[in-house]
Amino acid sequence: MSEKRSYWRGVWLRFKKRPAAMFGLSIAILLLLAAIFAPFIAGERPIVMIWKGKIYAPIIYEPRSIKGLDYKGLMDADARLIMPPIPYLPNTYNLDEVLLPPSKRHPLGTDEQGRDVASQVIWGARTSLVVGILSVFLYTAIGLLLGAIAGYFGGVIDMVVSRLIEVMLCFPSFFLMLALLAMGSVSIDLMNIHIKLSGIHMIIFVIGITGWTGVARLVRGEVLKLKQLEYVAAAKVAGASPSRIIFRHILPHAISPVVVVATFGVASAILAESGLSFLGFGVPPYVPSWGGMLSRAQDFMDTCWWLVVVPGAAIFVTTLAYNLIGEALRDAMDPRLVV
Amino acid sequence: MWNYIAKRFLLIIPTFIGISVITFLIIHMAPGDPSKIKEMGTFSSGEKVAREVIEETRRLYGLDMPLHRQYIRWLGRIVRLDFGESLVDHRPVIQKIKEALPITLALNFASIFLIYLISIPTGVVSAVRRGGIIDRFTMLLLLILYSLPSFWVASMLITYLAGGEHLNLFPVVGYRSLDPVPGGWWGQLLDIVWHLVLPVVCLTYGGLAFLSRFTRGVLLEVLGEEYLITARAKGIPERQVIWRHAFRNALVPMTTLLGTLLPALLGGSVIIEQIFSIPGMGRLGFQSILSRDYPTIMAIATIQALVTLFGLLLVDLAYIAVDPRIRLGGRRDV
Amino acid sequence: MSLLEVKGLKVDLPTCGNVLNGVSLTIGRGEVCGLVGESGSGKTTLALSILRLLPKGAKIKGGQILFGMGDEKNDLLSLSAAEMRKMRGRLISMVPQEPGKALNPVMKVGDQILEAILAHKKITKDVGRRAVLDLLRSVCIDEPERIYNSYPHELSGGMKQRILIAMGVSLSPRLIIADEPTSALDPTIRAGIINLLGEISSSTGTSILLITHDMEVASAIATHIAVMYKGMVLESGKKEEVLQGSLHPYTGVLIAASTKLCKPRMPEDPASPSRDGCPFYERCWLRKEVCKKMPEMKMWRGGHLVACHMVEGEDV
Repeated sequence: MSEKRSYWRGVWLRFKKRPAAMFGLSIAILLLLAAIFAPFIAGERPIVMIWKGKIYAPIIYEPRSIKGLDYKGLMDADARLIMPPIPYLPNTYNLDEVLLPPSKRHPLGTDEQGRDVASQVIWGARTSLVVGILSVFLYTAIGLLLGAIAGYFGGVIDMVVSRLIEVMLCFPSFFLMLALLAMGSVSIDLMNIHIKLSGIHMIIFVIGITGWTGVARLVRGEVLKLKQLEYVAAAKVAGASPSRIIFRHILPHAISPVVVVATFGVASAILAESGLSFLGFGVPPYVPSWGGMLSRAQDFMDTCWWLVVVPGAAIFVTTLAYNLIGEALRDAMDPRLVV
Repeated sequence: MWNYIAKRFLLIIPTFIGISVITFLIIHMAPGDPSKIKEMGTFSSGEKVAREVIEETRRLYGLDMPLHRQYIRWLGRIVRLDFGESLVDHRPVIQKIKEALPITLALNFASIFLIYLISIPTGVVSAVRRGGIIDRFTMLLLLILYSLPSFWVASMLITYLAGGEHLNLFPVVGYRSLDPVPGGWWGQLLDIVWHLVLPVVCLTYGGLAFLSRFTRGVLLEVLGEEYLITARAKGIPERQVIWRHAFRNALVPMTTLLGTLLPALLGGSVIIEQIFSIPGMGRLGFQSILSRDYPTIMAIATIQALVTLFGLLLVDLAYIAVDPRIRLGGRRDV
Repeated sequence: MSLLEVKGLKVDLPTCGNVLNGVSLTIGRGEVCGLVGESGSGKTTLALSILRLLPKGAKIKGGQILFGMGDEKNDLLSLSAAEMRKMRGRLISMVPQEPGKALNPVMKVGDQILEAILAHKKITKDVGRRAVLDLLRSVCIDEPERIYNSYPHELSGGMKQRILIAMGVSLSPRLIIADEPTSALDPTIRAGIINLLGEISSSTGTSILLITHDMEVASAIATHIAVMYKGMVLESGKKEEVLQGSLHPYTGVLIAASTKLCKPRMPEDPASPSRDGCPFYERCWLRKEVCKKMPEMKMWRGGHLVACHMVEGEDV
């Protein structure tokens, strides 16, 4: 176990050495923070408020006594508030302030319905990261399971899983995602559990269900290689059950390439969600999305550069960050590479 | 070798069946339920439309027959390439596909040609001069290119280079001008090329970035192999070492990569074709999804899957030329 | 009269640091020098240094590699890349270890030998091909035509090693560096390969630098023996003198290890290695205070050199 710890330590040390990687990591962390703390960064409730002698933190908890207060209008002498730096919600429209270029009031301008662009970017980060990370989680889990089973048990199971992978590969994935999304929603009835997926969950499901093939193939290959090592034979002789062998002995060593693929996968998933939203098949319109922003900007491309540049740059920087991290992880985990 | 070929052909059958089953399932997941179609019908323009749609769908999928019979019918239709008529304009689906396919193929071939032409030398040179400033800079640049969202690039290119208020170097829409073009046959060709420049650029830059990096990676692995030392110890020129020994061995994983790129080749990029209004497979697919034109959707999905399957077979056969270990009865993971 | 003279060669490798710490070695014409040492002693690095095929990032910190007879003597380290390339294969060739990895898997083995010839001689492919077939016969390969058209994965280890030897001999070089030619082979075929090398040397007068970790393999065909440890040659001389009258304690260890399965002699109390002193310090049972200083190579008797404080000899 301690060799595992020192392995990851070694990976981290090599990772740290690359400035590009650390840049990517900082961006990713910033985005994560932006996504988690979105209401604190762009919102219409104060972070902290002292009013009538009591301290409130309305974003975290809004007791009935102050529910529905018009915070912005609160000009009472004994009310002191700290508003979030961008005091707008992404969906708050204001037809008096339509298509404004960046200014002090709206640091990144407004869109065709007067909604603040900066706020949409911050909340869009939440959408992108949730979709990106959760869908990759989903398909990594599926891929790990199927790949490990196929690789370990071989024979008919391997044949079936490999055929399944091949079938999935033959379909153009983006088109398949669109087709699935065109269904509107998916209802799954498993035993007594009814699940209806729609909106953002549908996107996660769709990306997840089309993306597992890469991971499955990779894991299958790794398991095939590792299956032949001596300690697996030793475990078998000791009478360990297949699931124990797979989980305890084989998978920990197959993890490294999977982590790399998953990181790149997040980048692709974010691109996919943006692309789908751009075409109008992504998240519902009331959910802030960078792709959606770009889509609405199409009609105003000539005159309102900020509507095109800002969301596109957001997608680009996020994708780049994850790609940088993935690349650096891959190099850091490769014992042979010495540069 | 014949063993390998035979096995490969046999394995097509289950995959083909799998494809047909999946497309069959999707049809049944889609509104095959008459009441749902009725809903759709009343939404657009009343009972008459609903009845037409119901009848078309019934006829196409034989919804009145038991499930397995329907599936056999479906298989038969696939083989005969009979996908019925489009719900949008009642033209045979296969006709629409025949019109859209050549354009997408032209776009994709141009793109792939450029990608391979630029990527391979770039990848090889970067690998050989590994670690130098040029190498690191190029790799970073390529990673940046690879991370750019295509629809963003397309939007920006259109805004700043085509139509509109800034430079107006390229046309915005379509793959040829609507007005007659002078210059006869040659003029027409140039006109098409001029229209396709921006879309091809958008299609190419991503793949180029990816393949360059991939080639570099593969070549780096090969460069670490022992037989390169043997080759150099013989005193042969370095160029020969790189191309005849290193690159020749790198072809094996690169052929594998070709297999994974195939689905994209025939799919046509939905996004690019939509943005540039190019009437190819991607745009056809998207329009049919928008209008819920199920026969067309099914046809596109099925045809693309089948052609990709065929392409994968070709790639596996290409291994025979590339890797002598296959040719002579070696094993390969299928 | 020496063909190859390595003088005080110091080489650093990127991951391992200092690998060669002042290696000195001499090989005369027609001699077979068995370079014996355990893994990690730097034997392969020495071989690659002579051919100047060290990996990127390797640094040659000092020393000379003189090659050639009489007027043709050159310091290989001072030659340009193009001049060095002309030497490789033609004047100095290499028979690498691990025949499984040393051949290009996608090229016919016959073509790989042909390639070596065509790189240095302006002859037609047909003439070259016939020369290759002759070479294959000379290394005792029956059915040379069939083997010519085979790929490496179709051949056995011993067969591949013969191919590599044929490749090394193809241009009749003055010096062949054979790096552990038998280590990856079954014991039953080792003798055949070693004897083949011995015959090549005796019949053509080619010098061989035979690198091995097995003293027995070396003594089979060597005329001279050099003992290497941690980047230094500790003893060298004619085979009989070194084997029967070994001077350095480490030589004794190697000889004992190859002839009987007994525990090597170890010092009574453990010690940490001495950084600037004798590389054998920590394992030596004869060590004294003076051994903390680097010993010099001294002449014991006509050509028998040894580097050990415990041995009295004349300075070289």
